[in-house]
Amino acid sequence: MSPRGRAKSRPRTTVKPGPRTAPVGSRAFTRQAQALSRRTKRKGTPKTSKPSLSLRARTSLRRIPRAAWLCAAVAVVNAVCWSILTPPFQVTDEPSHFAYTQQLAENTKLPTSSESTFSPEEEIVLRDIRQYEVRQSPEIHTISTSAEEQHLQDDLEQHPSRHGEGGVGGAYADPPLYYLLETIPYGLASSGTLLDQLEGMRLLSALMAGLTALFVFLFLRETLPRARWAWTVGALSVALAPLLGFISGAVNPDSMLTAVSAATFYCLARAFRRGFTRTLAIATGVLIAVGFLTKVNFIGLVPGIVLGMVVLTVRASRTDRRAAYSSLGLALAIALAPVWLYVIANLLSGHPGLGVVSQVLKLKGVHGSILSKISYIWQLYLPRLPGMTNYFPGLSTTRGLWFNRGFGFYGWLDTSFPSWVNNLALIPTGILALLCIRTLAVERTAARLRIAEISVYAVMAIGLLGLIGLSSYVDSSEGLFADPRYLLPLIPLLGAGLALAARGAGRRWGPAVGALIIVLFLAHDIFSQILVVGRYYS
Amino acid sequence: MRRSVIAALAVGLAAIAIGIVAVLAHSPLTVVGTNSASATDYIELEEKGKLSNCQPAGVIPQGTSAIRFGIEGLHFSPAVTARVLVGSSVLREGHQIAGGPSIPNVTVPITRLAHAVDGSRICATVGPAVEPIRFYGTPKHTAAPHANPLQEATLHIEYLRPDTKSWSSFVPSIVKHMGLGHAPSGSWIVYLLLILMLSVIVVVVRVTLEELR
Repeated sequence: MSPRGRAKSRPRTTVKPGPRTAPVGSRAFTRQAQALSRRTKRKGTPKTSKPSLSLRARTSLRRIPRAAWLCAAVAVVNAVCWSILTPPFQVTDEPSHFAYTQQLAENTKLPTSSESTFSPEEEIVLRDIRQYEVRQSPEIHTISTSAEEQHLQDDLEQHPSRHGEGGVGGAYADPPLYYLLETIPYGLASSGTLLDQLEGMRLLSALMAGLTALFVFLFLRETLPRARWAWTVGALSVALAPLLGFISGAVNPDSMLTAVSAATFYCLARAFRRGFTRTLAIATGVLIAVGFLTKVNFIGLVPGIVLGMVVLTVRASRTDRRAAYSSLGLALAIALAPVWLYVIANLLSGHPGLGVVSQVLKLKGVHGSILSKISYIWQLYLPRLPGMTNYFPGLSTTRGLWFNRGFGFYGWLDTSFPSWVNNLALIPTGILALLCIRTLAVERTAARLRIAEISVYAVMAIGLLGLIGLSSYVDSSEGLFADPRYLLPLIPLLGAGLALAARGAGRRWGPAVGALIIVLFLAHDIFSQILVVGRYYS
Repeated sequence: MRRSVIAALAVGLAAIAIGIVAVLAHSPLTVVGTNSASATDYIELEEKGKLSNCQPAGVIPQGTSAIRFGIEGLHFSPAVTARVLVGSSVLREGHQIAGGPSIPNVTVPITRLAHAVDGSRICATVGPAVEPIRFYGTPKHTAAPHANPLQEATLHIEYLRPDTKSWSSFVPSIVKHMGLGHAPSGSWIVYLLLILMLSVIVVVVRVTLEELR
């Protein structure tokens, strides 16, 4: 960006003066690191005492721009709105996720089976709110008379048992961290009814949406340091994304997985820009551990994250080899700690090493050549190439499964916009894609200098897409199940794409196009909410 | 403050307001006619190729703008092409791409019929299928198995047209309905929802104006 452009896009937010206009790339990084090392040696080690951890944390929090907090607030309030307007248990697998939390809170045990035999209390509520009839039947609405409401309240006042037999349906193989956190609002609302507890749990998920938006803002601050206005475009659009609001307005571990993923993207971006410090290494290791404990899908991101840490370590080793490799070792030890503990606990109790996770991964049942798997996974997302076996005849997976579903499938994937709306949405999507490509073409020199960082994000994305695709391949005999929420961990890349698209409009029109992108996402959110209200309450 | 940003926000927000008014003035599709085939009995077919079915349409009511077929995919709806035939000429044709929700019907939009049509036939072409498909309707008892197994059933069909009432006339009942089966309960949550969304809009506008300059 030229000096003229910078002057025009002067930010309101006070940002810590730093190397935001510094050159980027591995050589530039090495030069900066060596210069820093020389300065440190010349000056000697200062003999002042280190500030306490809490003081450093407070200072770090104060450095976060106000706009980032406001983006987070928008994401939280938006998710709260979704939590209010979505009827109880009308989000995919919400009964299972609630049952998992209830099992932990009431029986203080992990789930024991994947059967959908929930506690008597949950079963009564599911029956009274007609969950089974409403789900996947758009012509059937939720309870609509005072008599039905009274019947529900009367049943809840009987205080049916909250102790199930350990069956939690599809959530059985999920790691427990998200559900352990959900036991806090569950417990706080335990004097109320199950519906009070459910809403409290949904509010915790809504806070996760705020964390996601906050980390997307910070990720963009690190990846696009010269275009400060574009940070807001990307983060605010993500905060308003209806899919994020819908999932974070429900009891669903994907809300936490998305936040953890956004934080990981931020840590890597920060390390690529400022160096892989020991603090960042520990933070990344902790995030990987948290990701493992949140949802199995996180495994898909791990190859990319590890690649990023290795690249960063190699760079950092040019100045201090020992410190760099010890930081990597520490990060990996922290990251893998829950995995080793899990494997050891399983082996000691006579179970397979990966326990219930091995059932999910179905490692023994994977048939077919590696080429057929690659072909399947490719076609799950992209148009078939010549010579490939057609796995999805008559189905455009890119458009029919991912675009249309990502654009607006709510409830139990049973509530969608009319076809003409999906078709209309292709126009702005195409324009935004072209603008994004234009930015990448114009700034190809800068992009080339950061090819290692971009490759790491690409490997993270490919890893997740590959994991989802492989899972679908293994289960292909049971049909094709594609849920766009599985892609939510990649939402920081959506934010980056939108920020790049706004920049693609040029110095003069970029902010105006950015404002239009934000309004576009706001409109998408509002009309998605209207769609859901019409589906359940008309 | 950039004028272009203010203009973009103003145009965008005005478009949203116009869109909301248009939605409220618009009428939801409602079922105005159906054939006698069962909506609950079904046959499940695992044919990979395209399947077709032609059957008498009965009376297609005036104003029909969509035809709903009792067809359900396991995880997503298959592609469906519908043709309304009078004699050998195609009166109306519509198509729905594959990938829709897994619900017990597929709605195919067609150009609105200005008049009721009697004595026509409806042909539905389904697939090709990636997964098993359920066809809701009534099986025909034929002597020999048909080459096209879908031809051995009469599909459940519904005709839809816009309701006489607009969405705006449903607002009071929606407000009442939204307060039920929830916690917290009561119609006041609708007003809470409106306040929260208005606050989102205010913050979004403010942040956009402050940061995009």
